[in-house]
Amino acid sequence: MNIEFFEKVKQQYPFPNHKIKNCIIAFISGGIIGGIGQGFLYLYLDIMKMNLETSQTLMIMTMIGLAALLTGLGIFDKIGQICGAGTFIPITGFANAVVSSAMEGRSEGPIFGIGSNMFKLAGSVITYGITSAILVALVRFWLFV
Amino acid sequence: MNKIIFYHNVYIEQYSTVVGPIESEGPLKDGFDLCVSDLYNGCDNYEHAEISLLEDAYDCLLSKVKDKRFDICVGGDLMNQLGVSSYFVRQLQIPFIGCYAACSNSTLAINLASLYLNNQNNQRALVFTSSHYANAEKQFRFPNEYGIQKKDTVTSTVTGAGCISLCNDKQTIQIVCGMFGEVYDALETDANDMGSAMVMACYRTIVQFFADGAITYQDVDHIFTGDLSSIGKALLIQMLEVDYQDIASKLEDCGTIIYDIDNQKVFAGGSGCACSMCTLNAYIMPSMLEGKYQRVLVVATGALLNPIMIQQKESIPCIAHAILLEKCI
Repeated sequence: MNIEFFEKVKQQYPFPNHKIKNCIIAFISGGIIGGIGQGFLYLYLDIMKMNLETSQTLMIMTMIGLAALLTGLGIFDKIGQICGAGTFIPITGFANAVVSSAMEGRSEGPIFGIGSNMFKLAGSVITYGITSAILVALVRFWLFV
Repeated sequence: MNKIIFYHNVYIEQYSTVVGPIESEGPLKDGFDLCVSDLYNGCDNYEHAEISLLEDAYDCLLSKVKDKRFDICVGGDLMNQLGVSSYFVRQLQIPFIGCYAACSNSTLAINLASLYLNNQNNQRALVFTSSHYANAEKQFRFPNEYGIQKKDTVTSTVTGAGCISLCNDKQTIQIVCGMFGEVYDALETDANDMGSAMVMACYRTIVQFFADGAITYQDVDHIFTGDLSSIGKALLIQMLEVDYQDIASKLEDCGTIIYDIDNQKVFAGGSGCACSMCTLNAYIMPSMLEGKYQRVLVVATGALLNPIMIQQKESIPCIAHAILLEKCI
């Protein structure tokens, strides 16, 4: 009954579309997060006089810690709604995925709740991260040995 | 072809509504019996919070009715295996029919209870539904604190619970008839836009309801749809305008009544079992008692979406059940 008519009506409906606005906000907010990370890197490198490798690791840990803290305080999802891919793509998004899933499983206890739920969303990142790392390592091994 | 089922001696005796924080700031805030200030409602987790909402609504209903006996209770919610409803009714010791039709649970439950009460004497039924924002997010979408950007087409699940007591003794509001909808799949696959997925199911139920011939479009003062969101409502009006020119002034959506969608952060409107139930109890029936409407058609809509099937690239089957309420005194 009138499915073609429905398709026609739906095509004509002006669906809200904020793609360009979202892209610009994501670009700016992603840049700000990168800038904050760079600030921490300079803090560890120049002011605390650490070497580059330690500073980079510490900077990443600081950003993950901050994202986890903001998730726990219930602020991160509100920032994420505005910034979109800006907060989602950097390592802050990964930290948020792990912590939010863990929080969701809290009511089911430490084993079946937090433990098994923690990587519900981030698990695929880890799986394909490790898989692609192995593949790249193998290619490099064959090319340069 | 669907047929209207006429009910004899089925009346709505009393009703009660309990809602969460966002709903209590909305336009219907004066119509709710009880507003809770946080999503936990004093419980350890969201699941128990939803059960406590139902318990509060039930207590509220009991305080309004004289006869506290119920012969059957019919209800449902959005959780897996009707978790909330089952754990709520275990203390009641009343025969229980659990039903699931996603957000159209309210009218499905009222229809089922009316079938039970039809042509009976001195029987009483309890109808209840509930939904909870955080539980629905957990069940159907992402963890609550996950920082994903939601689209403007998404609907927000209403946090709340509603109870209605139906009886055979004459009351002001009568359930004249009802219609069980058929499942219709418009091949929509976007789980972020369930409003437009449900339009066709709702359209079919409304058209079949009037095509049956027993009730004409002019007999009905107002039509309320369940949770089509602002987008689904606009699409449905455009589709129905072909047959019924003045439909735009005669049709409203519960999801756009319960929230102030321009000023509250609810995206395209409200959804969930409690959306149509709370609007029915807090707005539609009080308006009927005030004399604003004589005869009202309520068509609650449900997207029968299953997260696993969606990930298997399936579309979203939808359903819409209708009831016709009449002020008979």
